[in-house]
Amino acid sequence: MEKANSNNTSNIIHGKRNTELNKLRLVFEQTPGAIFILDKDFKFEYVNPSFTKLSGYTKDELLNRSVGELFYHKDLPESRKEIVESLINGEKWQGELLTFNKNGSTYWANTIAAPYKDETGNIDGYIVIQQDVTERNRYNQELKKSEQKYRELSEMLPQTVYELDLNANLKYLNKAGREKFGTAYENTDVSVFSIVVPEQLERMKFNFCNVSFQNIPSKGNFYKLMQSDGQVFEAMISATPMIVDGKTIGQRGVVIDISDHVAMQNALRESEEKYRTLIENATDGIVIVQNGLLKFANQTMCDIMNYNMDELIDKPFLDYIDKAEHESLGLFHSRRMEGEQFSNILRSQFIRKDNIMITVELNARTSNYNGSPAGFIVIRDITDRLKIENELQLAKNELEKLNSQLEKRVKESSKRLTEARTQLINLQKENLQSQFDVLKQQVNPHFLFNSLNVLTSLIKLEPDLAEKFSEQLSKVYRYVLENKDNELVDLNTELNFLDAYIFLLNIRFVEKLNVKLNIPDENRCDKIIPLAMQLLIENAIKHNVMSKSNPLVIDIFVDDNNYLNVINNLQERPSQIVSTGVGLKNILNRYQLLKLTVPTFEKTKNQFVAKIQLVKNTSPNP
Amino acid sequence: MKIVIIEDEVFAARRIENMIKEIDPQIEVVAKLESVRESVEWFKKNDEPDLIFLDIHLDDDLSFAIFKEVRISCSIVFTTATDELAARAFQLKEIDYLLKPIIKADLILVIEKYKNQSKKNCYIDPDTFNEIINPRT
Repeated sequence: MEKANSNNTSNIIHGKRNTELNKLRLVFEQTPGAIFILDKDFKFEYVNPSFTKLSGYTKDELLNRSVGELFYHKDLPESRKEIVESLINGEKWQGELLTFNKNGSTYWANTIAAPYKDETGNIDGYIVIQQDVTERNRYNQELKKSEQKYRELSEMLPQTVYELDLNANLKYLNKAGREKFGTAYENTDVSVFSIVVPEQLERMKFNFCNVSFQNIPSKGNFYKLMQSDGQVFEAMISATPMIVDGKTIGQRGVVIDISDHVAMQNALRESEEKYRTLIENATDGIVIVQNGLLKFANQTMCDIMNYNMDELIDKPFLDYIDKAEHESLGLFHSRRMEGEQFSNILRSQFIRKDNIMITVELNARTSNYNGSPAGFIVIRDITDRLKIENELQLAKNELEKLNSQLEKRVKESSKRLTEARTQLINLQKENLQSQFDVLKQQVNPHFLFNSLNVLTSLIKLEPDLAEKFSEQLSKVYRYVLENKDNELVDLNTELNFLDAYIFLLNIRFVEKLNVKLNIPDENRCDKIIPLAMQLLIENAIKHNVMSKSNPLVIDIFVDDNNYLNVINNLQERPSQIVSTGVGLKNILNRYQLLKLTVPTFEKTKNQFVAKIQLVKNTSPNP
Repeated sequence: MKIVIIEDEVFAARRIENMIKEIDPQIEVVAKLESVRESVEWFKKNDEPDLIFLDIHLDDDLSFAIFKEVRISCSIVFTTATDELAARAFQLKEIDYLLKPIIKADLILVIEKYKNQSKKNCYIDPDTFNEIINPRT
């Protein structure tokens, strides 16, 4: 108790010191830093738990053992001797130490070693604080490696990669960049602002500050940059600040040449523009139909249908089509949507706003519109065309009609021509026939032999008459011979012949025939075809009965119309010899050939009347 | 021998008659007839002769018309003024004919032929006659 009492103050003081020490000890024990205290012989006097953990030794293994003995087996390496010497000299040492731990591996420790002195100023020992920096160092190593990798990578990139310092000077330019911007940039410390076109310089400066001083990464700014050969190209620059230890030291970025992209975009825009122009200016209506609704209609379509664009868009397409067409059009549509290609143009009837029905031609294709299939339909109003076609058809029909009429007329003309030709040929034939007949007449065997028969009879019976008969007979035949080629003869000449002929007949048909000739003198200069009257007389004899009691009477005279009449009383023979039809026809044909008024022949109840127009003599010397 | 001459031309008939008399004065020309009508009348009243000289074309009709009225079975010699076609038809039918003006030698031959021939039926049917009148060419 006394001891306790005598030491009370000291105890209290001691107690106070102990409390302080205990506090410090607690700090030492709890700190994550490794702390140990060495005595003046570099023997471990104290180690905290962090150090035992770091070194791998237990407290017992460390205390009262020297650093050299424990770690270096008595001999300290040279590097450590320096530290020891400076400590012995009373100096503090700080640095990173590579230290072995118990199992032989090493660790890096940031180490602070300081000597502590007693009250007299003599070095009593050393306090050493160690911070394990192995992790940090490894991190730094990794960082360096990563940096290296990044550099290598960026060197390989086709895009330009750069780094700038805060003065906008180039600190790094990758291979692509050096190639792009030239050797001037090989040597960095060149301002980045020299590569942009002047008009964009301010914008670039602004963006530079945003990244470098506001730490706002730029997600892609577009510039026109000048490459080494002076050519300007479209570029997109993305940049991000470079921050080291919380401090922005500059920025790095990527330059992407988007010239091709821009060109492509321009081409696309142009193409789009072209199509838009085409569609807007198309003379055909163009619509896009999706799910049965009109999604697009060009102006021409609106014009065709007489609607405003707003009235068409999002309305059912079928609303504008004649109901009768819905079924066929629907079928067409579904087949098309299934992918079938139609080369044929569909014709349909549309109804305009004013309810007028128009005929259109549809040409449709299925394609993509806003991500789903849609019908792209070209619509042509062919109402006018049809009208014109109809008119053309009508005109064509009219023309064909005219043509056929013309053909018919040509055929008719041709037929008439053929007929005329045939007629002419027939007339010529008949002319030949009549000439032949006349020729036959001149030597008519029947007449001649009948006459000769009479003559032979007369010679003995009536010699004088026979003489006269032969005179007249020769006169008749001479006349025939002389006039066979004449078309017309004087009536007077013909009458002279006729007298002789009648004389012969009278001898043959004694009292059975009575020919009365009564021609005025003024008509004797008129003309007639040769042998006409002779033929008529012969005809009368051939077809009529004659006897003494009922003689055949033939009257020959000129009527008031200057027609020569040859009339005989009609007493037809009961059975007729088949007529050769030559006699009368012969006369008719000859007049026809001469283009003179043809004679008329008329058989009445009692008479046969032949009328032959006499041709007035027009020659100056009759 | 009795002969009838049917001939419308007076001088022709007279000539045949004269010629026959010159050839054989024994032959009797019993009639000279000029028309069908006259002939029919005669044949109705008189006996048939031995031979008829018949002209085809008579004043009032064709001589064939006679046979429609009276049946004649005696021999007939046709006379015609040169109708070549008719002549050919006569030849084909073996009918005797004489061409006018009649040549005396021909007339002698014909008369001699019939003088020695007994009466025979030499009826000429209408078809044959028609062929003679209108021979087919």
